[in-house]
This record gives sequence, structure tokens and C-alpha cells, in this order.
Amino acid sequence: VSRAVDVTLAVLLVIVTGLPLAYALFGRLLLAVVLAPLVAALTASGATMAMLVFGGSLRWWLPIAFLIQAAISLVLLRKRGRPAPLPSTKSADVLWIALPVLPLAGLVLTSPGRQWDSVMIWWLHGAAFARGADFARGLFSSPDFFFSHFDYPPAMSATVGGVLTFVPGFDLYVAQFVSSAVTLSAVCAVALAVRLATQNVSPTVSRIAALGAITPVWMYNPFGVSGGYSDALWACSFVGGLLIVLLGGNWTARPALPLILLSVAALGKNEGFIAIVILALVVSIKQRRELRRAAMIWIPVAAGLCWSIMARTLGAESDFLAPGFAERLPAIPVMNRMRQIASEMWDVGAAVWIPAFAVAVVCGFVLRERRRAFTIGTDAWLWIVFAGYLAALTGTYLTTANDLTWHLATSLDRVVLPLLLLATASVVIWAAIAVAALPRTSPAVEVPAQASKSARSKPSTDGDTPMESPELAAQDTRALR
Amino acid sequence: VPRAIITKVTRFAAVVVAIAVVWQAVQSNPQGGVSLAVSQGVENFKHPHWQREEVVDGLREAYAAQIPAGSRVFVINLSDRIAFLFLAQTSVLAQTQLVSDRSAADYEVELMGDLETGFKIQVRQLR
Repeated sequence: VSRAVDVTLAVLLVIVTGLPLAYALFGRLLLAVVLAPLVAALTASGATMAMLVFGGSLRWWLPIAFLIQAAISLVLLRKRGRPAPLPSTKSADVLWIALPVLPLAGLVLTSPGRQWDSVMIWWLHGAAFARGADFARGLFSSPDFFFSHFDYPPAMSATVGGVLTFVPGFDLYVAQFVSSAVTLSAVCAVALAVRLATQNVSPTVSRIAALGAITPVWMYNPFGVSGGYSDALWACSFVGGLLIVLLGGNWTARPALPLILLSVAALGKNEGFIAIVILALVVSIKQRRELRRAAMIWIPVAAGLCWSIMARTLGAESDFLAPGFAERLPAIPVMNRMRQIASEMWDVGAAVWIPAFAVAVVCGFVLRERRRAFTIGTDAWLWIVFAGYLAALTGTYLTTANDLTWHLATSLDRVVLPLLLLATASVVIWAAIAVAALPRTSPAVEVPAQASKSARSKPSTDGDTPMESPELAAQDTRALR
Repeated sequence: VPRAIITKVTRFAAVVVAIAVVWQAVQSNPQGGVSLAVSQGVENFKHPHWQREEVVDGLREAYAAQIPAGSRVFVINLSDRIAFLFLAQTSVLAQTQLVSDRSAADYEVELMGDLETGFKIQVRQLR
């Protein structure tokens, strides 16, 4: 009973911490509850970084961060009144996505609770943060704790640490429930991003596509969400943010959701930070004519960079950039390693990537006008980011100081998750475009140039507020290209 | 070939491929899949891990594959059930104790046994 009370308190604490700002930004209570754990993860990360820099305890820093967040929420609500809700995020949409995920959330009760990465990295960091600045700082530079990679970013561990500060006992199950709540929130964010991107196709088709897009989360790691890993958290946050930024028209008009998601990704894992840098470069090129607006895509990069600098200042070492990195580069058997990497990647990804890419290429030629009629941005940029992250992964394995066979066997199925999610999102969105009836008031297939305008002027089918403000509509056409 | 036919075939193919791609992730396979997660979850529910108690049990369960018989395991603070439970080589005992000086109580844990018979763990308070 005591444990049940503890885990219930822990999950409530995570939701309540993120709820004020989530509601002030997204304007719908149910949506805010689903996304609140991600806001809580950012709040806890900020509090943890402040604690490590200035000293003290999360017992103080977390309430301070919460009060700042609550004050921002109050200012937003008083200034703008009840915020305009995000489109296509009514209760029915949120329930459509959240309810099928709930049975999978129940796996937290049954999955193996103690896996190496979760116990020895994420929850250990969380428990260290819960013990205060002096203790945690000591572990960053301790050679005994090199195995725990204290350079890894804090989104997951800071949230666990924040809860362990107020729910005493350092209980594994509390940590497991908190990890699962934050990760499931990110999983729902991917589905919501697909729903937002396909908001102009029929709701049923759009919702089915949204659910299809999240299935790869369990493809190689059935307990990746409920077992306490951080990979699904950053991968889903990254892909959710990317879909809104690249496919959702003028994302700069309402940047809160993508920036929160991308910041969680940048603070989720080192691979997440690399992926965010690649995305920021691609967005800067895509929106080069409106760089001032698009510049906010670098905010998540700045968050990840702050952590990286701070962790190294405290003495944490990256096993990738450990001493000797430059010296071992010339001795790398490039061709042998490339063959091995390509073979392993083919095994885990080809069945998804190749058909999804083929559909993207063929549909990009044949169904281009239909896509414009539904005001969904081109997914060419999505595949460019895909290629960039694939290249970064290949480079990491190519230069690894570890035994390559071991390194691939212990990590590849987890680090390719964003690539599986991107490819699946691409193909389900194309399927939604293919199967949905064109809007009757928008004969855009015949007159592509008027497509986005007519689709925007059409009354929303479910009575939602359009995502873009009218004055920014002209930029939207450019964004879709 | 008329463009209308190309469009229809492409639309049909896009839907079929999307279903096939999603099916890859849903179906059980040796490494995972949504259905494997659910079925394993249901199976595990008969013996829920959260009913088991004690750090020592958790240690045996989680690290049996990694811990050679006779290894020494140091628990910096037994009440901190997550964090400060880790394997250490004898040579780093000094540093381990240095870290543990900051915690309330220090323990040394002796792990005996093997993978076949299971492990017996003795906890001894150092000071």
C-alpha cells in the first residue's frame, strides 16, 4: 500500500509540476495533462542545472523553478486570457491517442524493473541529484562513476531526482513510474504531431495515422518505455518537434510545443543533442529568408550546449571524446567497420526505411498536389534530417573506442529509434494523404497555387482555431515548400 | 499510361506499404514488437516484480549475468536503494569509501555463489 501511495504521489507530482505552463501554452486541460510531464522534465532539468552551478538542494531549487514557471503561466493567462487551443487537439483527439497507449503504459507494472542503463545511469543520476549539489558534483569527476556517464543530459534523471527529493526512500519503482510517465508523454507527442500535420484530412484517417506513427517505439525494445531507458524519451520528443517544425506550416506563430519537445530531446541524451543540431541547421537553411523568426530553433541547441559545458566543467568525461580520440583516428580500419555497420543497420532498419523512402519518392512526384491541398509541408526536409542523423550515427560507430561488435550489439536497436519513427511518420502521412478525400472547397489538385490559401480559408472541420494567425498566412505558403 | 491510373495505383500502394511498415512494428519478433511487449507484460503480471522486496533480491536479479561468483560488491548506503549500489573492483575500495564518507552509513557486501545455485549476499557494516 505504501508503495502504491508513493508511485501515485510521484506521478501526480510530475503532472502537477508541468500543468500550469502546459495549460497556459496549449489551452486545453486534457492536452495539458498529457504533455505536462515533458514541461516538468524541463523544469526539473533547469532546477538541477541551477543547483549544480549555484549549490544547494533540489528541495529549494525545484520549488523556485516551479514558482517561476507558475508566474510565467499567470502572466500568459492574464495577458492573453484563455489561450487559443492548438488545432485538432480536442478531448476526442487526445483520448484517441492516449487510450490505446494506456495498456502499454500498464507495462510499467510488469516489465523488468532493473536494467543496466536505467539503474546504473538514469536513476543513479537522479538519486545523486536528490542528495544535493555537493554530493552530485563529486560523482561527475569520480573515476569510480565513469561507468555511469555523468556527461549524459538530465531530462530523465533530473525528473526522477526531483521526485525522489520529495518522495523519500529512493525506491526503484517510483523511479520507474516517473520515467514511464515522462516517456509516455513524449510518445503521445509524436502522435499529436502527426495529428497536427494531417489536421486537414478527415479526423478518423488522421487519428489512425497518428497511432500508426508511434508503433516503432516498441519495435526492438518492448520495455524501452516502461523499463526506464531514455532513448524513447529523446527520440519521440525529437520526432514530434521535427514534424511540427518541418511539416506543420508556420511553426514560428506558435513555437511553444515544438520548442519544448526539441529542448527535451536536446536534454534527453547526447545523441539527441547531435540530432537537434542537425535539425537546427536544416531549418536555418529551409527558412533562410526569415532567419530572424527561425532563429528560435537554436534555443534547444543552446540548452543542450549549456548542459554539455557544465558537465565537462564539473569533470564528466565523454567516452566518445575521451583522451586519445585524435590519435586513434588514423588507425581505424574504415572499410571493415563500414561493412559491419552497414550490415547491422540494414538488419534493423531496412524493412522500414527502404519502403518508406520509396513511397516518399514516388508520392513526392505523383501525389505532390494532393499533399499541398492538405497543406502538409514537403517531407524532403524530413529525409534530409534522416540522412544527417544516419551519417552522424555511422560516424560515431566508425570512430568508437569500444569494440565495434559489442558497441553495435548493445546500442544500435535503441539509437536507430528516431530513424524508425521518422520513416514511419513519413509513410503514414503519405498514406493519410492517399486515402483521404480532398476538401470539396479546395480544388487544389487542379489549381496548386491556390491550395494552401483555400485550405486555410475553409472552415475547420472540427471547429478548431487555426494554428497560424492570419497575418502570418503569407509566410505559410513559403514554409510549405 | 493515363495519369489518373498512375495516381490511383500510387495511392493504393502508399496505403499498402504504410500498413506493412506499421505491421513490422506491431508483430512479435525475437527482438520486440508491440504484441510481444503486451504478451510478455501479461505473462510477467503473474509474477509482478514490484511484489519482490529488498535490494539484495534486486541485485541478484539484475546483475546475475554480470557478477562473477565471489565478486565484492560495495553498497555505499543501503537505504539508498537506487543509487549507491554498484560493483567495484577491490582496487577502487579507497575511492569508494571516499565517496561514501558523505553518506550516513557504509556497508561492505560479499557476494558468494554462482549462476547455477544463485547468490548469497552478506552485508557487513564497516563503521
